[in-house]
Amino acid sequence: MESIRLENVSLWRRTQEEFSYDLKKTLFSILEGKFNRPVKRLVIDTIDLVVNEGEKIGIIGANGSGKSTLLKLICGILQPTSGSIKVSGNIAPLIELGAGFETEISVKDNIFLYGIFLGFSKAEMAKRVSEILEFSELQDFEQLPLKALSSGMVARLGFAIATNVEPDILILDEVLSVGDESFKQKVQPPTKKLWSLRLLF
Amino acid sequence: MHKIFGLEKRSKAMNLKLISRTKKEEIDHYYEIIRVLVYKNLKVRYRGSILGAYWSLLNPLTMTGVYTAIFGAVFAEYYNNSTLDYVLAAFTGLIIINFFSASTSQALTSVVSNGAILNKIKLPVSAFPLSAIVANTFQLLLGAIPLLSVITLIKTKSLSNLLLLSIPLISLFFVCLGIGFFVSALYVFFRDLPYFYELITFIVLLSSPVFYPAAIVPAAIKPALSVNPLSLIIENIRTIVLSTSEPSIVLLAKSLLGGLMITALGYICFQYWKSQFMDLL
Repeated sequence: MESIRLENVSLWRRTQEEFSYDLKKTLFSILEGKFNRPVKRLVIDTIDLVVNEGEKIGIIGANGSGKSTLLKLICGILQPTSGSIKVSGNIAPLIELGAGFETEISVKDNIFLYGIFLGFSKAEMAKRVSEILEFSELQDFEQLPLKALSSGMVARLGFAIATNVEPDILILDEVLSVGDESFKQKVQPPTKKLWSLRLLF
Repeated sequence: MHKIFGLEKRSKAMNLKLISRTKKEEIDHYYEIIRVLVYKNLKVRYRGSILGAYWSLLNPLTMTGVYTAIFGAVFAEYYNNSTLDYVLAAFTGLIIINFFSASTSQALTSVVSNGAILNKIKLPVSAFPLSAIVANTFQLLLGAIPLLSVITLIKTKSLSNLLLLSIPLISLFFVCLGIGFFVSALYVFFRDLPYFYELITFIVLLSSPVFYPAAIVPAAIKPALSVNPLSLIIENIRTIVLSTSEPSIVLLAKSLLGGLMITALGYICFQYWKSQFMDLL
């Protein structure tokens, strides 16, 4: 069965150089008659991609070639300028571990926060909390604020949540380079386990 | 974009079953997100202590003291020659203005400061400004509203006034929500907005009859000040809490309608600009 289908997908985005927008500059540029519509650049040019259930796909390319952008399109974060994207099944994006965590609140609250962001209800997450803590070996740190944890621990937590929620599609964006050796060993079985498909690079 | 990944021949006539979320599931998810964001917001602010909500009363109480010390004697004649009435009037006004400034300023940064997570997971963007306003509303419900209710009961000895008090407060919520949507969207495009917004909230404070009686404003300028939606809300709350006169249903309806209109406008702008957010976050 098809999990992901991209047809003729193109995307135009504003270029990075113009990120420094501010009101003062815009007003002055209008007054001086120099106001230009923001420039857009073609970042993804007519891509077709079909991924079937059970497939593991790796995407490689130079920096800035649009790998992450493609994944954002698949996740629905970005809308394609033209073409169509169909995705069946729920997606757990793991693009850079730890995004979405709030460092001031406790580890347990962060598990709820992340889980709900991924589309789960509070009740469902309550059932999963202990499992996640156990897998990430952070039971002793449950009530500590996240900022008390080391970056490796945070990465473990992020990984534990994303694998625990059993997504149909798991998207990993250069994330497995973190975690110490013993955790990497531990990660092997679940990554091989039940996912019908993963996109990984 | 290098096309290095495995491109597949399109399989013909494949039945693609789309497991899209139903409307109800989407609303449930939205609700869960609001709840967890509000919880996070309050938790970060108070670190678990419920007394934190009362801390927020420190600012209006202090400012009331300062205004009373400076203007109390001069303006008392507009308040039945009673300094107490001036204190209460200034305090109610300050609560409203403080809520407006704090909630909309937090909403303003809410979308941009969550840019990282919006770039990772698909989330309903409008949940961020909405949760900032709701979190502040909780704070108001714990801190200032009980105090306003007590003042109402003491001053008016009427339960109906207590019930009526909810109408201007709901209007206030909607005014702040609409402006929160609007400024949070604008901030995505104009990152120097907080600087201007500080100026705007200061003008709102000065142009609302908070620490001076509305009667001293020159007649020529009055229409300009009536544009400020908070003036009407403050006037409504004062008539209800301090019972300066019979609460007017027309004015209450007008403030509620105004609040709803501001929310609608803010939300329309937000939705209209939303598609451009992700390129700039």
